[in-house]
Amino acid sequence: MKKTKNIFKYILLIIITLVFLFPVVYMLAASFMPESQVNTMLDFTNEEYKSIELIPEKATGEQYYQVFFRRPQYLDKFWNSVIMTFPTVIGQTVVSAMAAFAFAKLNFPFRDKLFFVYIILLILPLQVTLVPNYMVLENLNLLNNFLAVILPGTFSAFGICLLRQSIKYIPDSSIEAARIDGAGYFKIFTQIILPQIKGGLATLVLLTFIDNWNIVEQPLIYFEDEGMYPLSVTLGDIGNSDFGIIFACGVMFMVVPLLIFAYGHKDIDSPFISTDK
Amino acid sequence: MKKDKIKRVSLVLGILFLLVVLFLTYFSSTIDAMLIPNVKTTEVMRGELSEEGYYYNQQDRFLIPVKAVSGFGETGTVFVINWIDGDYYANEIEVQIIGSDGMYYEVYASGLHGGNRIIYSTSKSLTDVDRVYVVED
Repeated sequence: MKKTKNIFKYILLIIITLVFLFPVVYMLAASFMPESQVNTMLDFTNEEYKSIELIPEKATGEQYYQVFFRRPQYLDKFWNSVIMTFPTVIGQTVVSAMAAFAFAKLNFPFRDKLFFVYIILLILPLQVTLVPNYMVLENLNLLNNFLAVILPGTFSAFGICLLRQSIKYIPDSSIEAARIDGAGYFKIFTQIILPQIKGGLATLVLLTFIDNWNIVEQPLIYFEDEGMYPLSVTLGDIGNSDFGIIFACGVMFMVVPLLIFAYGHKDIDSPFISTDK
Repeated sequence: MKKDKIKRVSLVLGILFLLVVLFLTYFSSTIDAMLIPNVKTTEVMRGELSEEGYYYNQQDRFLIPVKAVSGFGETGTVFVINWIDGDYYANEIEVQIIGSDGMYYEVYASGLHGGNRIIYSTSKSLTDVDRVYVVED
């Protein structure tokens, strides 16, 4: 009985996995189709899918050739994504780790009330803060500048809340012992706190990267120059011009997050569970 | 150990990928120009051959450099340059050879027009509707 249950459980999980993997497999397969087949397949003139094909008529690297050699503007957009994402991830990790340490282990006036304000900021949808952010950035002359996306991302409340949970479970005795040995706050932070929250940091890096790599609204609102748009925005607009290479662009866009996940996924753990690492 | 190997491989692959994309961002146009045929072009002239030289006329007779025509006998082909969507394409047109003075062919072709640019020199063999890179003389 238990064996039958397990079999059904695994079959269900495999089916769900295949459903989730299908778009990725479809994109990979379609990236090796000739442009003519892609245009035929995605012909929306009758407002419905013409067909969904997984096997190329003639496997070709034509789309990749177009993306890498003939359409350098998509490579520029890729680098816009890199320029916006990497500094945001690094900045948010550093800022969040220090702020989370302060909220979790230091006592200062109105600490808990201030943290409550951060929780409220976390709950607010992004669209609610877009207009106030725009006004602030306009006054700072940061519109049409990559910093308009990097700075709000760096000082986001999400990372602070995430890492505070990790740091909360570190015993106070280890911090007191370090204090007795003469360690200052910076030494305690770098040599006691940081090594024990590697899992939380890895989780924050991964989630922040995914969030900023797929960013769409902020560049559309804060940038007037379309040359500054990241690839995530351009992929949505690609249907107006270079439809035939949409899948190769998508694969190129997918490579970096996949590699980052492969690098860090073993270090990820839930910040809500204390660990003995 | 296996965990470290996966980390190392993904780090190396990531750095390689970014380096390749960076290289292609700057050199993709140059590499693309190297991969497609490099051609030289000249403008087609309306005219006829005569014992005194060349003279202009209003008919569909054109004077084309001998180097630009492929083929022998009474028919040949030339490649005309067309600018489409930001690229040059070579379109093959059949011509009827009427005469020659060793430097020019007098040809008749319904698909040619005065002012067309035709290819007289190419770095690689061409076929109809090939994308080409026009080298300035």
